[in-house]
Amino acid sequence: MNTRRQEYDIERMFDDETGADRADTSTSMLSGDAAAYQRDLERIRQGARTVVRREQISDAQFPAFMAGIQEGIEAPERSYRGVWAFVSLASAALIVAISTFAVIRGGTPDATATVVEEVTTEIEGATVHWETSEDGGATVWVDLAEGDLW
Amino acid sequence: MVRMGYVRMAVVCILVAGWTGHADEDEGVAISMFAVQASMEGRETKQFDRALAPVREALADLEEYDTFHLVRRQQGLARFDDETRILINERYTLIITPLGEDTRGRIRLRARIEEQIRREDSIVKRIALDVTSNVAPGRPLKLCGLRLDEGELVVVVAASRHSGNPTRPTSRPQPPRVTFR
Repeated sequence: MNTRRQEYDIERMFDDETGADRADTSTSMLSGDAAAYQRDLERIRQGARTVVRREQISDAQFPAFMAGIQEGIEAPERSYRGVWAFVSLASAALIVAISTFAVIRGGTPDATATVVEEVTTEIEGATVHWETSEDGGATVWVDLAEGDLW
Repeated sequence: MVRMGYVRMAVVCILVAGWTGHADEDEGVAISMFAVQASMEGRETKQFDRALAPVREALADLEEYDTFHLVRRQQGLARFDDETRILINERYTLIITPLGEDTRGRIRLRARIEEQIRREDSIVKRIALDVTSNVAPGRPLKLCGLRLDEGELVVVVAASRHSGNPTRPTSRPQPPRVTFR
């Protein structure tokens, strides 16, 4: 399969354009996909030559024709800078809005819950443990041994 | 040399700004304590003393009990790194020591329940429960399970930061120590 660059080179050679970097190549030396592409170009040329009715630009149409070309040349290239600027600003505003919402809303209930770091007891045989309450607080339990006589 | 001076100054400023501990002698922690005798008596609905209204919701979470009687209620200001003793009854004493404040506004608190009994010719004490926790505002700490008469002791502790007067003079006499009676 020809690359676009290869096709461009073949088209230039076919149109008899010469270039120093292509002096070592001619259409007669093409093979494979390149030769097939060259045959397509030849077929198109033959077809163009056998067109029964050819459109021509008359002398009266020529000024309008040139005016159209000039208008196309002078037409400013469409710029998308404004669109990209708007998209960038909108993205930045969206990020700021989301961040502000997250800050104002505050942390999740887990982030502001009461947390126990350490719990111990001097009661022999007793066990201690803690758990998070439904209200976000913490409940510490001491389970006394049966033999505790205090 | 001049740049190193600015660097050292910046490091000092960062260290000072990052310190989240207490820096004001006039500031402390507002403590609210409810000591409750809780028991399970097989009621259909839980029963609370009227005076327990502020902590009713916190106590209602305890499924092990259905009856709650107020033993002692106390509120006051405790200063950082100072022990504040709150007498619950002749057997138990709550000892509160605020240790600091974290970046989320929670008070790092050490709460101990000291238990004492009178033996033949002496009083014997032990720390029945020693808890170090980060207490969030509005999220109380509950200490449960110790024996109290026919039920069990439940201590509900709430803590929040108390700021001093922002227009205070830079030098002043040492404020009196606050104690619970």
